[in-house]
Amino acid sequence: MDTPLCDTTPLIHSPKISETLGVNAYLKLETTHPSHSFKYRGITLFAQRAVQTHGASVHLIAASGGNAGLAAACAANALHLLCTVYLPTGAAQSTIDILRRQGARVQVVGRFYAEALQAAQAHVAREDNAVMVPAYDHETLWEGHGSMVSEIASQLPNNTKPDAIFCSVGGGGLLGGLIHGCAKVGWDDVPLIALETIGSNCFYHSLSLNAPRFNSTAQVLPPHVTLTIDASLSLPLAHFHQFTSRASGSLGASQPSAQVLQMALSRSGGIVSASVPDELSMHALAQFAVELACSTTLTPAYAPSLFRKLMPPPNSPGTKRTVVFVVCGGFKISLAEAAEYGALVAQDKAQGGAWGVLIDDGSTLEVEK
Amino acid sequence: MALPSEPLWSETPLIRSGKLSKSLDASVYLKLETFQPTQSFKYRGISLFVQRAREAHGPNIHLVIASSGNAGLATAYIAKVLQLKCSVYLPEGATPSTIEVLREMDAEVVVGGRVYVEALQAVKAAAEQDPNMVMVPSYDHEIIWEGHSSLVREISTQLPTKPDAIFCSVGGGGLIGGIITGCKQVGWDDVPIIALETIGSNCFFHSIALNGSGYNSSITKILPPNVEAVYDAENDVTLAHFNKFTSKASGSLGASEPSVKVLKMALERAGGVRCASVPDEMSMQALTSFADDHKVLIELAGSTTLTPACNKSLFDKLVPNKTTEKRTVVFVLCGGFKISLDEALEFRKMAEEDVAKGGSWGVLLDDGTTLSVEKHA
Repeated sequence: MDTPLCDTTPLIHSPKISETLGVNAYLKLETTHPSHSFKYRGITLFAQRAVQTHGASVHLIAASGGNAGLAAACAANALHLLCTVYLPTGAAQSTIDILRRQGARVQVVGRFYAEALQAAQAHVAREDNAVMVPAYDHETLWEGHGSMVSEIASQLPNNTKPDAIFCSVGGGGLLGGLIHGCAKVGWDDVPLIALETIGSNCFYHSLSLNAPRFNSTAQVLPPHVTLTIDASLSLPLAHFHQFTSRASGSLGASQPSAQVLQMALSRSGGIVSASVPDELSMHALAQFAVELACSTTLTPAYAPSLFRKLMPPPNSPGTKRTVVFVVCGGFKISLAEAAEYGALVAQDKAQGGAWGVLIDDGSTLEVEK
Repeated sequence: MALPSEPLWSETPLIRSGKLSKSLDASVYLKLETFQPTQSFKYRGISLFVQRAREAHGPNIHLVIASSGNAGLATAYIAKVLQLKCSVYLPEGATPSTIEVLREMDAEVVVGGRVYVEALQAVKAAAEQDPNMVMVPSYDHEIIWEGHSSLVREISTQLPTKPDAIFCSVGGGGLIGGIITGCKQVGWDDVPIIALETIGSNCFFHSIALNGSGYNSSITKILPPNVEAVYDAENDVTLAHFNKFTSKASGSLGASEPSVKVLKMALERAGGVRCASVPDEMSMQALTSFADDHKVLIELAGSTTLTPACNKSLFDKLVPNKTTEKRTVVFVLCGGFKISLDEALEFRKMAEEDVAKGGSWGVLLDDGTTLSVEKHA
């Protein structure tokens, strides 16, 4: 019963971005899933396997105020399963409504996410049929998300292998999927470029702590971020105790999946990481209306100097390179929010100067506003 | 350069809308043509036409098209893909952003003529002078409808059942021509098609009414100001000819008169074509609700298609609930590049101001009546 529940999503060629960057730029649009984001892939696969293991009366439990919760609710809906999503108090009514519309039960409990997660875990402990749906740190999720890469491989014209794939990173679920999917189609050597926002960039900092990267000796971390070691993999990770980015609603993971970090460090195509200020992401959003987490992926598309810095040098001069931006999607955007971001960016630009983008060699790239 | 022999357009997603299915008590599917390479369904028919022209006449052809935007963009893009010269003739009033979008696609842009029809005349005049020039039709050609018809074939493989109705917008009739053609191909000639337009840019609505058993087919014809009835003797149909548009959607939907052949196909098909014309503000509201719910920005021409989806009384009037079974409907979202966040916000403001005035919206129905739809947020 592993026939995928997901439909293939569009891979569109963007003439505008291609022109700006001097490459063949493609966008993998994950917004058309029933839950508006790529998370539907891995989570439906997880749910399907849960049914195989536990039967049709399995009860999916999720602790998430966002896209993972919605993906779980949509998956449950598609498979006619029970689903309960735990959210902390203060969760937006619109989020509660959208979950209920999918038929999920919603439990609002706890002051913040960690407490909602505890309540969810308690539920799983006391109910036999209940199974916790992981948000990002599970092999089945990466396997499911990875189907995106097989699609890209068949959708790119003339069996082109991309010169790079861009994505956002929260906890690392999407990245895990891309690494998994690339390995499957013989693209282990394709560079992956992971974008985050400053103030919600646990992956960037975690990466920097691992030798031979720039922060592996000094281990200097921003306020509210501490070093932690993943025992099973002996990997240093950056743990965030507080987020200062507007994108943290979707990108805000306290620490990345250690296994994904490990996979990223060991793959042949490598991993490039950069963190952009919120305003640069909002600037990208104004050009391409998606969630702030998602527009973060597109910042290099709207800042050519950043793109050039992140891309590996071209193999042969003269050949046009091909890049894919994974537009991860997400339901946390509305016209009103887009307008708000537009105003914030305009204000920020009026102040003049440049945006400082943290690059994974420890330097900061100044991107002219 | 090796000529591609397969279709160059993209298969687009057909998604089921949970939100709309619930509010309409139906199974509501959306065909998202905004994911074509040039963001509208026009790329289907136009890329097919150009591919055939290239096969027939070689690589030195110079494509020319009269367009208000989306057809021009589709032509410019296929020209780039096949490495052909392209000129787009736009009527006066074309926005700087439209001109820029076309120039970025390396098309030559010529602005002239008060309305589309005059730009078309300029194209014909130019083509007469230059043997290399090939006129690309915007909407009125069999090959265009053949290309567009592919979207129905896709729907028939994507949808588990035969729909109870297919909704679309109408400008000159290219899209509906394609849908009618496609329906015939897949055995859906009896599936009702529901054509939406905005009041003030609704030449198809008025044309249908003037013919056969339409409400305006008697000797005394009642037409709005700036619209006149024109009889086409060769095809024995009467068309409504618009001299002026009063709708904001006319930037994309504004055809002076519909394609005669498409009008005939619509009048003759088994499933019929139902028509409705909505006020601009209803379409603006549909645009912004759709953006918030589905995270996709569409043009005003496209959101017009969705007005019944946002207003159950209108939907039930157009797709009567005949059996106890849930109705399955498809909204073909035509796409289009003429929308931005700023414009969407402006439209939202206008719709809100209109709703604040209270009262109801008057939707023109094809039986000559006006349906009062209560304004709601």
